[in-house]
Amino acid sequence: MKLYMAGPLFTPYHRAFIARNAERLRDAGFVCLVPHERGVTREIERAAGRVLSAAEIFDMDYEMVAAANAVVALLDDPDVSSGTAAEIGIFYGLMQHDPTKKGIVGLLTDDQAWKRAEVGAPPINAFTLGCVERTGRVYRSLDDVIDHLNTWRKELRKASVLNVEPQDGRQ
Amino acid sequence: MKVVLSGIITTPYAREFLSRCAAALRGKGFECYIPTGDGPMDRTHAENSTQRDYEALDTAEALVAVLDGFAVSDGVAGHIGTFYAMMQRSPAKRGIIGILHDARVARWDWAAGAQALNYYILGCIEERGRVFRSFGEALAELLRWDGRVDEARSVDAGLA
Repeated sequence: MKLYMAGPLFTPYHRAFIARNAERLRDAGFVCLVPHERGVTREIERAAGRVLSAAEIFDMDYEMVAAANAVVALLDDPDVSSGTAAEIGIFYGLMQHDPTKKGIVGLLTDDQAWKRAEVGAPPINAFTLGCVERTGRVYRSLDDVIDHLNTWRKELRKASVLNVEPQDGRQ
Repeated sequence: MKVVLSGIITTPYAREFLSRCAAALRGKGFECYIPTGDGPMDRTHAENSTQRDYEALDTAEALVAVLDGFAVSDGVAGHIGTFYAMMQRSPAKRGIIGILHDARVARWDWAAGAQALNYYILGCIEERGRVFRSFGEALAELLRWDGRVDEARSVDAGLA
């Protein structure tokens, strides 16, 4: 089962957190598509010898989103990263006509967001939250995310969508 | 030298980053306050955190502020404003050092540097300080402020 790991990747500690989560998910047997593992934009541009256009960056990420069976979205920070929100919207749209796409699971570790939820305010933007809740759920811990993904994986196996998959979740 | 280290404290990995920076500062002999405290975070009452952070800022000689995010965190901006006001009446306060990693603001190669930060915040920092691209560079600057030029050179050399 292929997962697209959406989330803000603009600081070293965000990237380290996403990388640690991807490692755990791979240990659990999932294939993880992680945008910053393709190189951050600077490295990709150096390799290409030129500045990438926004459209080219979009194409790289879209290819991964479109190939995934599910999205694991890191929803932290004062507002959900705009790139992450767009990817959630894209996946929500794609899954309306593709039964191999199971849904979106949110990981929200941000104390401030949970504090908003405790007093009845939406923890994140309501439209983004709706995309997740219509197709999956928001969790505070990766353990709960993995439990949810395991259920989807069983459903996909039952539907014979996942025929051959790497044993350790690596591509 | 007493330093307040301010940054995003609402996610576990951002807190972990601050804790690691604080440990490095203490390892270099700086007295370091971080808003999360050293034990489990107790921020149940905003009033307590305001009072605690204010007292730490009042007695600190320098503020190191992590400026990440599309916009600087409101808590960090509050610390910067408070410390800037304290600087106006206290020449003992050396100044504010910023750390900016966020590639949306500085660009991936840091080509934009601090130029895209909110100008009011940047002005508060640049009155007596600067914005750096990494904690290591900020640490070297703090060592220079503390008169430890050789140690600063050694940190700079390690970054090169």
